[in-house]
Amino acid sequence: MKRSLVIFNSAILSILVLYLLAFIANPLASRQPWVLFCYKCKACNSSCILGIDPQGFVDAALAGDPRVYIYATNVRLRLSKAAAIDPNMVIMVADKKVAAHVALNELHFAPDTEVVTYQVQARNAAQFCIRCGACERSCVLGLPLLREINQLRDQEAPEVKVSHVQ
Amino acid sequence: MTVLGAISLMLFLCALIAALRGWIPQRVLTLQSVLVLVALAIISLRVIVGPPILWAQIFTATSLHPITSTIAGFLFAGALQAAGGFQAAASLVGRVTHTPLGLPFAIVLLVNFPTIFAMPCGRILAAPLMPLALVLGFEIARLHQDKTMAAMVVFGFLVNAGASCAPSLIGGLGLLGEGMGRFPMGSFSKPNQMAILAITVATMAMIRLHYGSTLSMRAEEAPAGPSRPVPESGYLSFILFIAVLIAIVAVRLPIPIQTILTLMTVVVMFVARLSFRDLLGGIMLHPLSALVAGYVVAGALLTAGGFEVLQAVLVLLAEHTVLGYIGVSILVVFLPLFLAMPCGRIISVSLIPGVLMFGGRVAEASGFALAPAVLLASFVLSSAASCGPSPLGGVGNIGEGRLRIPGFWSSRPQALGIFLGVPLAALLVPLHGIQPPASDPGFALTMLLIGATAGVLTNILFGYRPHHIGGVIGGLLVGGLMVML
Repeated sequence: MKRSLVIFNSAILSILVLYLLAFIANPLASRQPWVLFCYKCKACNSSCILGIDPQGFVDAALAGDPRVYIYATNVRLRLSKAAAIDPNMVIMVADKKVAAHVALNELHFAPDTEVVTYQVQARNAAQFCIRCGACERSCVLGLPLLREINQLRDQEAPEVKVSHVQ
Repeated sequence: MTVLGAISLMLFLCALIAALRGWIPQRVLTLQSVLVLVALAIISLRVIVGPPILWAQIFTATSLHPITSTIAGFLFAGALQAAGGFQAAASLVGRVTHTPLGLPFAIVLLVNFPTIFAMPCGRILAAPLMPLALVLGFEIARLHQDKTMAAMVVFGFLVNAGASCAPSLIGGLGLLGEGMGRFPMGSFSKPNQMAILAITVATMAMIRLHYGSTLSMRAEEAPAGPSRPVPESGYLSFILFIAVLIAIVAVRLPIPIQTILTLMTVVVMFVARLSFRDLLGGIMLHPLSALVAGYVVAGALLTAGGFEVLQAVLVLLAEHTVLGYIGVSILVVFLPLFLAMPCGRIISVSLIPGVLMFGGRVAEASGFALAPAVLLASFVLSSAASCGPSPLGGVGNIGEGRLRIPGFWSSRPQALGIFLGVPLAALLVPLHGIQPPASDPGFALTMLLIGATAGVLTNILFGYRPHHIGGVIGGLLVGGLMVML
């Protein structure tokens, strides 16, 4: 391999190392280092009665961004409410999976239509969560998932908080 | 389905094929560089064409667990190697070979070892046990004057290790499928374990019967250490390793497996008075960097909607071609093999909702209520096993590196082995139901029978009589351990 190519390939390897470092730095910065141990096995997933994927909260902590979209497949609310919380929230309506703003503005569903969520931002899922702790109990490592959920709830500005599922 | 998603998917597939076919020479751009450049291209397109990008979403495709497992496995392998643990294991295997059980017993036990003690990532056991697989492989190759046999042992062991995260109850990929599909924990564990036995034998058979003639292997013998009597610390560290493995699987301690491996490494270092430098010999950077690069490109594809396009194409095929939902379901099950990623979790998370949707449609069309479970169990196994043949830093790369085999040779026999073995899981789910109890005599008998059959086939593949006692007893022992653990 030519010297210039060695330098180029090494630079790309450095990008990978930096990517990994960022991955580790995020949870440390958010004081949730335990998320680094998550196996991403989703054993917690089947225990949530709201269909929230609790491992998504781990993803949010690893990514260092509460706006990461995670699965939440059993939260029912009105379309207008869904669009108000997050216009890009993916909802299920009439056997379609679409963004809330698309259902409201392009497909012209009535604002009062009851919809079921599909993918929502982690911070919104944290607001939906009833904090029963079933996810923690089903985790094979017993990771403190509620700690991350509580942190996400606390970060959210009071005016955006979801009153609760309708 | 978006144009951007379609372009991204095409870009990824074309680059992957070009890298694997050698159209982009490795001496110019390494596979990792190709993947990162593809990821950068996809992300750039997404930024220019698509709506505002949520950068953090790229991270969600990455799973740290297989990376840290590999590192912990490599370090522990280094410690065991330096402490003489593998010398001790080889000496024990040597003693077994002088009994009527012979080498077939040792081979059946070793290649199926990762699935018996199913860990949340196959790399955990693949890395530390690789030297033992090499010793056994070269020993049988020497006896039969056939170097193909070394590759059979190594890749039989590796495909087994790669797939072994599917049945693991301590955070394996199977739990991911069961969790997302809302099936009880461990529903598909036993059927998958049985199917992995079939995958292992089928992979070894593929190498023996078809791909052996194309094998170009530069390693002529197992890397041997200085000839010295096996130190006491070797036996001690090897016994410690086995004891801790049994404890982990039996007790299911809520402690990350990496922590346990690292603590064991420290204990072995203390017992055998090793330095940190002794541990570093076994570390291979290529599988690690390729794994990270695979995650980066998967994150880019996720952001650009590449996986959504894939799902949309499958639905189109199901609704507008003669394949229908049943035909496309089979395609879906084996999709992870066509797009073999360095970790099955990447494609599983993206496609399991689609798999469940297909399962539901098949159940409606056929009136077969267990269709979603059958489809999911098969998909999860195919997905988990796909890290074996993946050229993007899959577990098979560890074997190719150790045996110095160029050109991702092991991908095809492994992929075909998986293709032949996965249907067994699909058959066992309806036969014994979801989550069959280990105490069910019918199920235990099936497991023993499959174990014994795997043993007989291993005997034949390695040139022994079909009823050689070593293979048969080894197979029965493997089946029995799978029932119990």
